[in-house]
Formats: sequence, C-alpha cells, structure tokens
Amino acid sequence: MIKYNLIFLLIIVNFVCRSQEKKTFISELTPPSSPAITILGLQPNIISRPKSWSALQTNILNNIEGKNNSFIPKNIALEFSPFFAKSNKLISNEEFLTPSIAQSLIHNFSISIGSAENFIIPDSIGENSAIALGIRTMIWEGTKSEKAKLLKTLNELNIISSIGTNLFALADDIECDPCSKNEFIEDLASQIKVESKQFTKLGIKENEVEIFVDILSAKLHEFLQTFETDINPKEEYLDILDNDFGDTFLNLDNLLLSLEELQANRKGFKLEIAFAMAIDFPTNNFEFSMIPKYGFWLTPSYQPFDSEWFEILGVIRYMGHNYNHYKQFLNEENELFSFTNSFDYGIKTDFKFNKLKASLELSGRRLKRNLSMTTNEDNTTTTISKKNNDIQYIGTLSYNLTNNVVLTYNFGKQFDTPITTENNLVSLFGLNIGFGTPSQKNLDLKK
Amino acid sequence: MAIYTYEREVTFRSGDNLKITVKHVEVATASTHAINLPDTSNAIDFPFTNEGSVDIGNVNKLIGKTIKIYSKALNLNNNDETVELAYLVNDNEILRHKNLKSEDKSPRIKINLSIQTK
Repeated sequence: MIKYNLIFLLIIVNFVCRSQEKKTFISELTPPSSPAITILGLQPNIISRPKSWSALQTNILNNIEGKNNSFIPKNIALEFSPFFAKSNKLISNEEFLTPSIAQSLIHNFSISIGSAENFIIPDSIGENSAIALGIRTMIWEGTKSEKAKLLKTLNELNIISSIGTNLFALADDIECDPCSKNEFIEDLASQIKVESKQFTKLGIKENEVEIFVDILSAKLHEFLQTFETDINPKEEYLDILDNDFGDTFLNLDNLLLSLEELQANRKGFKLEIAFAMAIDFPTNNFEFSMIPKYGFWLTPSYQPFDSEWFEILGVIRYMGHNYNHYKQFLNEENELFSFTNSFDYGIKTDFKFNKLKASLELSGRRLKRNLSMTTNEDNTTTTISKKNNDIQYIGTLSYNLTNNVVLTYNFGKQFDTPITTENNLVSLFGLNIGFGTPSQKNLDLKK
Repeated sequence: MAIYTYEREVTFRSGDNLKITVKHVEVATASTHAINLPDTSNAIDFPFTNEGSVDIGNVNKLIGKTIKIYSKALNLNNNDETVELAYLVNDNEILRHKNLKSEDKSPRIKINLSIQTK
C-alpha cells in the first residue's frame, strides 16, 4: 500500500513540476535524425526512409499533389542515404565495419526533405507551406582498438564459418544414407583426417587435427543423443550439423551477435555534423526564393572502449532566422520577437552504476534578438537588436525501478526567459512508465 | 533453418576452362564456400572465404558429372537487411540467392552444378 501511495505521490509531483518546462536538455540540441523535418518544426509520426532509388521515386510520386499548377510534395518527411541505395556496391566488410574518415563521410551521408503546411509565411504552394532540405553525416566513429576488435571478430567469424562449411561439405559427401550414428561420426572423422590440409589452412595446427577430430566426434555424439533411433536419414545429421552444432559447438551464433553488438554500439570518439534550411517562395515566383530559417549541428562524443559506465557528449548548434524575410512578409510586429538567432554549446557527462544514472550538463546560449528594423528616407536600414548570453547547468539522477519504470530528478539552473521575469530554478521529479513493451516470453530470440 | 538447394546445368565446349565466381551483391555479407569436385582424391578442393573466384581448369574431365558448391552466408548488418549472393560460371550468372535476415540470417546454400558439352 505504501508503495502505491509513493507512486501516486510521485505522479502528482511530476505533474506539479511540469510547469517549469522551459529548459533545453543537451540531448535536444544533438543532430536530429532528419534535420530538414526539425527545421520546419515538425514532429511527424513516420519518417519515410526509402532504401533504393526506385523506392525513393515511388515515395515522392505518392506524395505529389497537383494544386494551382504546382507539383510540390505535400507533408512529406523523408530521409534518404544515397550510398546504400545504390545496388552492386563495391565495398568490403572491412570498409563497412571500420570505414576511414572519407568512407564514413560517404557511407553515413543522408539527405532529408520535409514539407509543411503550417509554416510561417504563406505562398502559392499551399497555405503557409514551406519545404526544407537537410544533410547529415558522421565524420568519425570508433577508436583504433575498437576497430581492431571488430576486424579480429570478423576474422574469427570467417574462420569458424569456413570450418563449418568444410565440415558440412565433407558430411554431405558421406555415402551412407540412412546411416547409424556411429557410422556417420566415424566416416566424418576419417574424412577430416584425409582433408586435414584444409583445416590446417584455417589455423588448426597439423598436430592438433587429431585432437580436433576427437573433440568434434565427442560433441557430435552428444548432439546425436537427441535422436531416438540409431539409424537416421543423412539429411537429419546434416541439419544438426548446420544448426545446433554450428551455433553451439562452433559458437557461430555468439560470434555473429558480438559482432553486431560491437557494430551497433560503437565506442570511442564520434563526430557528427548536420545542416538544414527551410526554403520559401514568398512572392510565388520560382526565381525569388528565401531561406527564412537554417540550422547547423556539430556533435562530438566520447565513450571509452570497454566502458559502459561513462560517456561524454559535446554539442554545438546554431539556429538562424532571416529577419528581413519575416519583416517583409509577415507584418505582425509582435511575432517578430520570436525569431531569434541562437548559438548553443554544451557538454554533458553520464555516469552509470547499475540501475542508477547520474548526468551533469552545462550549456551556454548566445541569442541575438532583433527588436526592430526600419527603413530610413535615404533607403538605409536600421536594425536594433539585443544580444543575450546565458548559462544553464542541470544535474539529473535517474533510477530504473523496473525495466519499464524510471524515476528521475533534475536540479539546477535553466536559461533565463528573455522577456518575462520567471524564475530559473529547476527542481523536477519525473516518473516515466512504459506500457506495452514485449516481455522476454513474447519474443522468440532465436529468430 | 533450411538448406537452400539448387540444381543448375552448364554447357561447355570441349577444352574450355571452368571458373567459378561468388559475389556479394549486398554489403555486410560474410560468406564461406567449399567446392567438391567429383572423382578427386580430395573431397574439398577449393575452399575460400567471401567474394572470389576459383579456376578449376580444363572441363573435359568433369563432363557428365556434378560439382557441388557449398556456401554459408552471414548477415553482418543489425537491421533486417538482405543477404544476396551471385554465382557465376565463366562470368555468366547462373544463380542469385537472396533472403531477408528475418527469414534466415545465416543461410546455407548448396548448388549441384551439372557439367554438359555441346
């Protein structure tokens, strides 16, 4: 009962504290997966990610709508990686897993395209519509030691897989069908001895072939215990050899998983960049377009290899607005204040100890806010702007109560609100509850 | 996991040389191969890893017989990507094996390649 009261109290505290939601965490300043969509201020449920040129064409054609003789895709949120869309790529596994700087730039390069109907300035493409283009890529990913481990695992995987392929080829050549268990094992063992050269090529030493055969025979005996009958079709033995035996005795499955794990959770130094801009045609003339908003992201991060408990992340982000564009075409003086150029920078460190995670982040913001813009009689323009520098520092503690329930507490100082005089203290409890995630029982992890 | 077995027949002129090539059509595929030539002292004659070619030489001794090609392909990608291998005999494609990772992440392929003459 006490436990439920505590949870209820935390939910209440969470709702009460939600009024202080002006802070911007560093994670929100990192490059978005689709910069073009972010620059338009959209949060679409689905971002299309076509994986080939033909899928891209289909995707664009599906979104085209003819209205007022214009054929600009409407409400599109699309991200496309040209390199991996090309068929018949000439790329080795070494290049795929451990690319150089130039290769990483090309492999990770993606273009995002977005269009919105609720952008600030109306034009004939649609009411208040705008399109945006963005690019993103990774300049560097991983350390030398991590790359060496990836290549070592790949090499090991190739050797083990090759042993498996050779064993399978030898077993398929066995003449008896059906065979007794002993007959199959003995025939395979003698074939291996005849073909010992092939196995020594794969790294098994000449004097170790006998030992390899003994271990293999013993293991095969173990695996064939599951067969109720002594005489079985050869196909069933081959099936065991290909699946259970390969996965467990040769450890092929685990090696593949560890390679995937290494590849998915790259450690070491990473450097990611992104750029995006919105494009508007305020006079409905194709030859006159303007860029009302643009953004640039640069994100270095570092996580030591073989370390799960520490990570450091840096962020530089610039968001710019073309004030002239809004002044000329928006005509709503009060709204002009919201178009502020901002330069954000910050650093964040994460420490993880079992279920507890502590984060410290320090970020700075430099704002340039245009207050007014007037054109004088001599045709010169006078712009009055105000610059603000501000610092935010927030500490966060989070604790995983269960797999789906995380308790968090933020404490620190957030950015000051430039116009109002609201407080800048952050003290926020949060309880995040996940629903509907599949349990281990629901998943067939072997698939 | 099934063993994908294919039957293919190739026709040569007497005295032609035979070359077998395996290509990775998709990136992030690792593969290993073994080729059994009939009536040779060694059962496995040409083991190799990943993409590559093997020159078997004059085809005359193999006429009317069947070469067996064995492969194991591994999908190294984290996503549900495709494993796709192309098999070529003397630069002519004879087979393309393709499957999604969700169908089979490490397919074993067997090709019975029957050698004929014109």
